[in-house]
Amino acid sequence: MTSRFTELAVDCHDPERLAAFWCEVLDFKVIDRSEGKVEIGCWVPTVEDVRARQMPPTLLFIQVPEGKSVKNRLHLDVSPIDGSTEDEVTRLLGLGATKTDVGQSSDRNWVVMADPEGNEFCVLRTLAPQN
Amino acid sequence: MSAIKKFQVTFDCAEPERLARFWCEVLGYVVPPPPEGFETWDDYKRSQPPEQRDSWFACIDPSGVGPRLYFQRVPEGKIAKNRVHLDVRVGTGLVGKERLAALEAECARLVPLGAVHVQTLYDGNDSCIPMLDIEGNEFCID
Repeated sequence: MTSRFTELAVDCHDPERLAAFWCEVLDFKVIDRSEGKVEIGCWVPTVEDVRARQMPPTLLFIQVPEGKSVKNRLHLDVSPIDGSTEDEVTRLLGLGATKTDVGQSSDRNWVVMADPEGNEFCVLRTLAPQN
Repeated sequence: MSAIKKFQVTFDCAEPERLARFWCEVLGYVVPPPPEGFETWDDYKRSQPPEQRDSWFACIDPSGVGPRLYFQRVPEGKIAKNRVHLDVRVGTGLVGKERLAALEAECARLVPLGAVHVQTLYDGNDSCIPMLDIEGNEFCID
């Protein structure tokens, strides 16, 4: 017996706005909406698929009344696949992300950013083919 | 430029390896091979300076589809409810008592591993069991 990691849930104020941001970051699509919730993913899970095999989880944005008070203890790391880390950071700044400081040293090869509601995430080394 | 498409989830924690091994048991994930050039994880750890030893660990989906989970040691403790959490699913496609039974069975499997049962939410049809992992990170069985 085991469980499947099916969703990464994110508490937020504006599920539509954050979902739109993360769709742009990850090339995901909105796959479900209900009161105060928006779910995005790179596929639409079916019962059969989830039972049969491991799956890429979806992201589920849930509206909550309280604001963010401290640095998140869980965060996403994203890896560019077809450009430099630096170019990807520039693209994400244009989408509404900001650079942020969580005490990381300046010689790190990843960049710490925050989404439009301040959720920290990291842009890691690129996975793009190197010439 | 197209989008990123690859992501992992990182946990701030006190004991990376212990937490990683817990999540392996929950999700059917596995400990990855040790870093290149090392026979075992213990060999790798012994090569590290004391202050870096046990500073991180990871677990991976053996099929390569699910995201890697990365655990990094941080000095500060957990002080607020996490704003990001994992949902783990065992009741897919089930409703009512059958679904509740599947969730309760999974909860019963996880408690001996060190998970904490917070409450059981059940409205006669839908159900969800919020739990805590061994460092107090919230997650839901649904």
